[in-house]
Amino acid sequence: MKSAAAWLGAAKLFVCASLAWTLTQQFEAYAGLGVWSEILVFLVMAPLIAFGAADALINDLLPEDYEAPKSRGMKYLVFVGIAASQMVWLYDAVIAYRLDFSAFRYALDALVATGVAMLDFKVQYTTARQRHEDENPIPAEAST
Amino acid sequence: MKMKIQFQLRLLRDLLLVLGLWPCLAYANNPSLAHELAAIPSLAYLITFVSSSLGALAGTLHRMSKHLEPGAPGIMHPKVFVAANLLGGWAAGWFSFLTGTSAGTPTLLVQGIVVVSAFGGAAFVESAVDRLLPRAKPD
Repeated sequence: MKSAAAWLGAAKLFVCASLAWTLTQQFEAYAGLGVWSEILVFLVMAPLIAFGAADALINDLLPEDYEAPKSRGMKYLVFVGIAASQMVWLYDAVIAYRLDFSAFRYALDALVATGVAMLDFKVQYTTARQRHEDENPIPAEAST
Repeated sequence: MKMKIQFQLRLLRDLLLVLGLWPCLAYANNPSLAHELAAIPSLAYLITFVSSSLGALAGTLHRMSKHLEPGAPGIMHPKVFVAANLLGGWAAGWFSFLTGTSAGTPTLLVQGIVVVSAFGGAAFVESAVDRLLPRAKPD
């Protein structure tokens, strides 16, 4: 396991699980209504959860042999999307005057997801830079 | 040269302000929209602002990943880069929020539209600023 990335992976799993929990609760609330906008929102958010959880498991928590390099490019968008999804539910609660203490969980989880997206972007950038320097070492004459 | 860049940046800022304020100006005499906007709790406006910022952040990271690829020249003007992305995101988010609300878009979709348009607005304004500013790194 990549120990440096393990905490980041755990945080990613947390934000994915949190959005999945939110969706489960909202699905119960909206079940049977058949409102197309809610169905569309569920259809957009479910792949975000699946992609985020798969990325956390494969790229961060499993041993280094397991890697999904093609998912690197856009995953910050996935975690910002998860943060935005939580804000959507918070907005819905505010508009419907259903704002209780548990609704603030959405705001907190959105904050964590934003932090995860930025931290993951930084890690990806540093890793790519390091890999590039390893593959293209600066000649000794040029460096002096 | 510096004066010209400053003038162009001021022009861009003013354009963004007009873009953001246009729905307010256009619907200023529309009592039904004014009533609808007044019925929205102020916390909802704050959430819209945060959603716009998230869309702008996504746009910033997306453009940044292209500028910071190994071998790429990097970001020439970091402050202008971030400011352009945020302003573009906020303007587009606010514009789409007002337009979506006035069109009676369902609640959940309004926020989705805000995030997506903030992402697009950030990328649009940043690429416009990127064309305006000189390529050479400032001394």
